[in-house]
Amino acid sequence: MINTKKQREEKSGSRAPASDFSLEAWGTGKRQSVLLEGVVGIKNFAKNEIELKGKKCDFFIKGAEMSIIIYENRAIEIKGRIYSFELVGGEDRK
Amino acid sequence: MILRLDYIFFGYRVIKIEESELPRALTYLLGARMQARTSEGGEIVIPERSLSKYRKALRGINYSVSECLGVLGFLKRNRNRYGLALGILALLVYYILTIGRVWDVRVSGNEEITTAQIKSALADSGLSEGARWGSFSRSEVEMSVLKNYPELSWINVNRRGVVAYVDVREMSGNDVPDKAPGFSNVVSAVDCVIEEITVVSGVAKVSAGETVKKGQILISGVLPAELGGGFTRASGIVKGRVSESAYVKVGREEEILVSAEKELSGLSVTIFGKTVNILKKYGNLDMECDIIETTDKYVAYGGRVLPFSLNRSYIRKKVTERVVYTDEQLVKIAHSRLASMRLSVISDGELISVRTDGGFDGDGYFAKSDMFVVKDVCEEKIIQIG
Repeated sequence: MINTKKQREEKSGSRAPASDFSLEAWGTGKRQSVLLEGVVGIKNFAKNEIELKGKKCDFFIKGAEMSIIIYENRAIEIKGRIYSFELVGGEDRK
Repeated sequence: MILRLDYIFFGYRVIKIEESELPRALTYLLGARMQARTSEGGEIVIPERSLSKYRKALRGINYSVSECLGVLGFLKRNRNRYGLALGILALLVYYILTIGRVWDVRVSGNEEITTAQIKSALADSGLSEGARWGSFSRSEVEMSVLKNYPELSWINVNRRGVVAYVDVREMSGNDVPDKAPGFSNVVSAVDCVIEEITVVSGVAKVSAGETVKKGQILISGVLPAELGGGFTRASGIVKGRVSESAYVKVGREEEILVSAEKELSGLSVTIFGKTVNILKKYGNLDMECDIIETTDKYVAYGGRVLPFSLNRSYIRKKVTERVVYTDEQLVKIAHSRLASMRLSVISDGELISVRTDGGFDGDGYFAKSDMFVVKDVCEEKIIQIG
């Protein structure tokens, strides 16, 4: 887990190809943030589970007291206590 | 939930959407590239300025919108309450004009020097009620007051809110400057007849019963050859019989200071040790007046003193009044004043004899006392060598 914003910027070279999605994560033991680009929809939003739809895969995030921020460039930031992050899929979607 | 500053100042709304429709609403907003943030309760916070765009993006979703919140919302809700707006504006103006000024100057630690004198000296240096805090330097004020009042040994000016607390310390009797180095004689301070002489160091030049003049050497600091020669600092106790007199004249008509009715000059309340001013007439009390301060404490049933008290201060101005005395009053006043003068003359000696006389003259009455007093007549005089 990347702990500081400075470390996050230094690690930006580890992004996945921009055509699918990109993910950055940072935070402390009590509160984390995940920034996702490449999300096209929100399938489920509850306090302890969020399901996001990407171009080729789905994202499952489990945690507590989570909230979503949607940016004008379609990036999504999830804040809260994040317990797990799972990526499912990979088939081509039309 | 932490809100953005622009939301707080320019207004924001809270959209409540059913839990089952929330993912669809968020997807619509994501597709429309519209910024949104959800709270932990699933509400969406949007800026007020974009409300119509959000309504358009969320068509087909059941939602409710709150009223405008934040500063803009407050102003919109109260736009017809002119009194409230005027009140807030007046408060802001009052705050800006007064917060940077000195409201009160409180002096403590003084005994001989009056508070009015110290406040007057502070005012000359720039610190007075109504002055701007930035218009004077506290350290310069302290130095200036110390320079003008050598009776003060220390002064400190502290700012607490809008009140200046000035703490002073006066020179005590122990702060006597050290004696200058060198040799000296003991000379007579007045014309007198020597009653007794006790030499501590030096050589006696007079004896009991001798008449001496002012400035005459009583104990010499020049040592004779048989005592080793050289010089010393002469010291000792020399008592002489001195002729003193006191004279008083009281005119038939006089202007005297009479106390007027007392008037309230300040009112404050002390609650749990903290004093709050309710009323105070500002300005230096440099007029002739008496200052009376009273504190009323309250006792509950059972004898328990309550933790608050009412403090009142009054001034009783003195006004001049012309009076005409009768003969009896003249004699009484003259002899009363003469008695006070006699006391001050004999305060540092022992009264041997006194003769008092008095009489009427053209425009009043005079009284006089001739006294013989035995007192210390020593005075140190440095020997100039070379």
